[in-house]
Amino acid sequence: MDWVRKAKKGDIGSFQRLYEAFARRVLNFIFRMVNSAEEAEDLTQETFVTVYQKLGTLKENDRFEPWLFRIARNYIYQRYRARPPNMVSVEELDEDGQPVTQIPDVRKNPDESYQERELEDVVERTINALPEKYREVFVLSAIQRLSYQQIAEIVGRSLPSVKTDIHRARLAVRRQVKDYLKV
Amino acid sequence: MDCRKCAEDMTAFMDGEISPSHTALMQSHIDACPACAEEYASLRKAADLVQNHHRYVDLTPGSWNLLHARIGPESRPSIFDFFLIRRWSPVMAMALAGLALIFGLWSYHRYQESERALRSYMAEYIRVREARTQAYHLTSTREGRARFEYLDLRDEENPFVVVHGTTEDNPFRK
Repeated sequence: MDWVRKAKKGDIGSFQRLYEAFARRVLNFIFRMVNSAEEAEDLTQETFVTVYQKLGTLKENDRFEPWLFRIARNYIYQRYRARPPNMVSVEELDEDGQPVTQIPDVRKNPDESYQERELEDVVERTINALPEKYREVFVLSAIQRLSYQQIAEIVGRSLPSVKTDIHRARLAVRRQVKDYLKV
Repeated sequence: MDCRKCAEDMTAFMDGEISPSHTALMQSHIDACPACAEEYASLRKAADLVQNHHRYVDLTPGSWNLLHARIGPESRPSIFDFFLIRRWSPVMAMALAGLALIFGLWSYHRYQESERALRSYMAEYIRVREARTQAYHLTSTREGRARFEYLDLRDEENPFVVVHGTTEDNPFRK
């Protein structure tokens, strides 16, 4: 976290290193939440502008990562309030928590590259179909590989609550993809 | 450990989020219980599927340059930002209130000093005036005249007191 310390003092080179180390991860976190690469890029820029301006307020340098994701999350929710993103809402899940969205049956197509693309679609639709509350903790845990403690800090909830939501999200995802696990 | 507890903690176990001792318990249960082993294997496979098949988006080339252009010198944190830091706001508010209080006390103290000086001067003025009145009625005596002259001299030192001529200056008295 030497870069954080130097960037705090206004060293633009260190801030660039922080950007290079974290921007892609922040971008993908936002992308998973807003479902638009263009908006995700825009919000990533906003996030890092804020990070640069507010870096001096960061008390503990080793908590930079959850702090950064918390800023990104704030921008996501600001955007949510302004305009809900294009996604499957909680209301569109059936009684078992299954999304109404039809997932293509990739097992019928033998072409491997096509299968790969379709699997990506399946995963994407599955993540997008998760209720917002579960999706953010799932993305932060399963894709961004952040610890439960860091996720709790980012979303501002207790550790047991985050643990429960991650567990439920994992079960929901498994339910959605179970037909493709042997592909 | 029973299967229900094992199922509850399975995700945390998979993510390495439980204590080493609990991990050992979980592992031994999964090794011994085919149902939990199957449950764990399917969770693991689903996690791997997501990890291996989710799409990443990449930053557009030159994104850093765009950001760099936005965070010019004008947006660099300034020393005055310290005063805007939320966690320091109560401290700053208290410091400002303290300064205002100190200034108020200082002003009040100065006002009180002026008041004391004025009261002291007025008391002395009244005392002298009463003495003069008394002496005026005794000007026929030598002692009275002397006192009156003495008081006149005192009055001359006071810029607020208009000193009138003594009876000796009155030509009609001759």
